[in-house]
Amino acid sequence: MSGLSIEVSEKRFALLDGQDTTVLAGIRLNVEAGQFVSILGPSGCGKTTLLRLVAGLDTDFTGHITLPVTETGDPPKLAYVFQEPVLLPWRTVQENLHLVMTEDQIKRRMAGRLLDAVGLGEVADAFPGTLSLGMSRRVSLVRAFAVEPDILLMDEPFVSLDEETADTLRGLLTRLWSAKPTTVLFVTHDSREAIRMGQRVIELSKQKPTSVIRDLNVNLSDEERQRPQAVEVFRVRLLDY
Amino acid sequence: MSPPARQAATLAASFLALLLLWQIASLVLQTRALPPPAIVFGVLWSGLWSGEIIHHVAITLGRVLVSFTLALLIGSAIGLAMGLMKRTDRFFDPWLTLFLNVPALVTIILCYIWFGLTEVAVIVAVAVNKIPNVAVTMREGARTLERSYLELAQIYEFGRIKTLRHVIVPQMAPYLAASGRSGLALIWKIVLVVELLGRSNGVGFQLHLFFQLFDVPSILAYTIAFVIIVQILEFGVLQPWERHAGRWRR
Repeated sequence: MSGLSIEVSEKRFALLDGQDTTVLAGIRLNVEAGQFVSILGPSGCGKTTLLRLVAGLDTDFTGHITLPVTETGDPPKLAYVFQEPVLLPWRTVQENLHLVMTEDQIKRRMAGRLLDAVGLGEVADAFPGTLSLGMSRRVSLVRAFAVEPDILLMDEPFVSLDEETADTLRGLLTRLWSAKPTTVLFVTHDSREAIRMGQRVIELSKQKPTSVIRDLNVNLSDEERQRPQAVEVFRVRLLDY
Repeated sequence: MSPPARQAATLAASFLALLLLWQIASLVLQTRALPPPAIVFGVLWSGLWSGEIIHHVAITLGRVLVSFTLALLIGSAIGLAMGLMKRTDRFFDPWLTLFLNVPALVTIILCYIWFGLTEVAVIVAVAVNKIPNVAVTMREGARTLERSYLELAQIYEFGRIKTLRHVIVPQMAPYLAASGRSGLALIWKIVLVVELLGRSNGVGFQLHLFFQLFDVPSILAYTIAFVIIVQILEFGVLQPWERHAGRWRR
């Protein structure tokens, strides 16, 4: 499968006073198939905007985004983990998962197996309103993996969770991803998280219009990523000087 | 007493009080224009047994259900389109205002002139009266649709039908119920007028007949029969559906 190529020469947003402002400019990225890429940047820098462009949720920009072509020549399967879990509250957990899956995936009982894998086998028939935020986030992760995507886009999926839950979910994401490496764009404002999760960290600028200021490979082993000190050393060495 | 039993008792007391008031009024007034409840219920009973009331009520009910369904479907489609698309909304908004303000009687008369004294005329006249109300309610509903759910449907390629069924309709359920409830109340009243003006069967036609004969007990008997039917629809169909649709709410 080919990689993902992103080229955003300019993305403008209309302001309330009728004028507009350039949010993103001169962004050029190539992502290899199966690579886990963290996109790091301060809040409000346009990370979500970039992700929405890649997802095709926003088509109003100058530039070109080429999604990978699969071996069978089909358009690639996309999955998106939103900042909020975005589960349909009127459908049960299992119905929420089945809605995004193909007949074949449903037959292979992907939903049940993934739910069991994340410790949510019990709540398959519950409505999302009865779940905690951490549980809902897990369901939303499971949903993304249940479609067996070619590209997985994640928008700060662990924000506003307590650190312990967030860390459990990071471990879970690593496990799910290792089982089936997928091209991932993982957006975050937390540099430790970016380093811990990504094989590559792309840092976006604080100044508008936002562009890429750093593009680093993270040469840490899986075991080192688990250790906060190792992540911290890497962070100090590469991001903060 | 348990709460449900107390509720039932209150309901029964309320009915009895109404009957009592009616009885007293008819005793005091002593006029053919207001017969006592016993006579009216006697007429209702014999009308039910002879099958006459059932025959006419069934015909009216059929017209109500067909035009109700049509009005709900078409009104929802228009309301959704207007709520989701700004330009469509701006274009059709004056039309909506116009149709909202056309008196029911005008639509009825025009439909009889255009389509003749036919069932088609009845259905069209009633539906046209109700569609604008449904559209306005559903437009409000469509404006409250959560954008993130629509984006979810787009990303995971739900397609139109799946999006409608699993994303849009569940969010519109309270608005559908509101349209349905006010629709049922309005539509059966309009159907009676339509029948009175140009049909030879149905409750409206019968009422017209009894009006000419000054037969007040029969008029009241038909009214009661129809009110009971509408209540059955409310408690037997609308409310169970609402409970089912809202079961995910805690």
